Amino acid sequence: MSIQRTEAIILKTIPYGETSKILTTFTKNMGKVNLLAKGARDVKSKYGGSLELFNYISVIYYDRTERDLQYVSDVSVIDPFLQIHNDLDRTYEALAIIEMCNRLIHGNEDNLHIFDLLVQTLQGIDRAEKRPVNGLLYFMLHVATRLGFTMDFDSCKNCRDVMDHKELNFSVEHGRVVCESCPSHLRNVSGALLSKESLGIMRQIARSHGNGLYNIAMSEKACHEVYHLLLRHLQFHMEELQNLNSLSFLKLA
Amino acid sequence: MQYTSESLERLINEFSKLPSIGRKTAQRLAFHLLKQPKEDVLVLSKALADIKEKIGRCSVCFNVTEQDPCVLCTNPKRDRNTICVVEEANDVLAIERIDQYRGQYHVLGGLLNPLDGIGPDDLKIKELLLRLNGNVKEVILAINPNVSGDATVMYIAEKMNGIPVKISRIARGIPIGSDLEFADMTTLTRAMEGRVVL
Repeated sequence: MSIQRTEAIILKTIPYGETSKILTTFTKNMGKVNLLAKGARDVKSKYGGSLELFNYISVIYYDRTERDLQYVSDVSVIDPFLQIHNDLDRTYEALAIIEMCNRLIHGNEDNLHIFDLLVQTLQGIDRAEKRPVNGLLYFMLHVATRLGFTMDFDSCKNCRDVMDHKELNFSVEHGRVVCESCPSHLRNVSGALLSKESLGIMRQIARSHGNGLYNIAMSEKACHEVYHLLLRHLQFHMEELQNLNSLSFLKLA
Repeated sequence: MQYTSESLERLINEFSKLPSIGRKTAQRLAFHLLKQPKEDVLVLSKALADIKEKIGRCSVCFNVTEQDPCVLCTNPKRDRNTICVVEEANDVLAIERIDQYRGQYHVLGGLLNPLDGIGPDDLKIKELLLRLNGNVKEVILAINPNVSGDATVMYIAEKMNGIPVKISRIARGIPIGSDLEFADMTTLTRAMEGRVVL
């Protein structure tokens, strides 16, 4: 048995027994770890509100490799994302993100690049003065990139033409746009139409590293188009992301 | 493991289906009943059968009851201007225990939980809004302070927007007898937000 100290985001909580909680956490160093927090739901628990969904915590636990569930020894909150808790739309967006993470992360291997993306996105959604939904779009696009399913919006998949068309086809299968001049069979393979506005937004989000992300303005129609294309791309390449429960709660759905 | 009695094995299996009851505890309970007088065991089995045969839901507040509407809804001494909204029927018992609240109740039957796909249509929210006729002056949301609870509170508040009824939520913060020093960041922030003027 060893004592582990790591940072983590809480992806799921399940009540256990009279006062305890089972937590699914995405840790910075050990991937996904299931933890048992004894007495966490008791009014006088020392954990109090630390073990709530999507809290960013520092946790110490006893690690026994032969056990599926590790016992929590101590917890402190690094960031409770209070603004997310105070706003229904932000809550739904954050829940969609942590559900995606919960499905995508398997086992105890670290996924530092996704962990950092998750923390950065939740902090962005929490602090955004406007358009927190951009955080969700940013996460969807960048999680695809970090898992090897990059989306390229800069040139045509076939002719490599740098395009300036009114409407373009995006090949979900290849993760690239296909211009109108290229053969129709290329455009129609697992394709989705993308307006010029949506294409511009996608390019901005792809190049954004958090800075100015929440200032990217877009029409409601373009926001829907971008979201549905991102979802289609993710679900095409990652089977785990089919039938996500939380998506139907989003305004975009 | 093989038991010498099929009935005993069946009872142990049934006990072990209950929450927080493992195989060992189930076995201990079964052997305890085996030692009890027959009449006591029959009383227990009747009590178990009755909860399915006699108990239903109140058509007004959705609390558990043997008569419809329930005794709390029909009691003329209770204040009809206030509705306390709770997650489950056992929360009604918790609030009744303090003997301070004299209004009506409304049991939602759960909380919004997008991760498990539980939405507003799975809860008794529409029924709550229908109860907000001219008599009701205040709705108190006595809902657990967690993500699902917060989401449910915000959803109900959004739906009640424009209805001339006062809406409040029970305070969140430091439990009596505890030390500020050991309070976590979230609890302390909520306690500061919910401070009262003296």
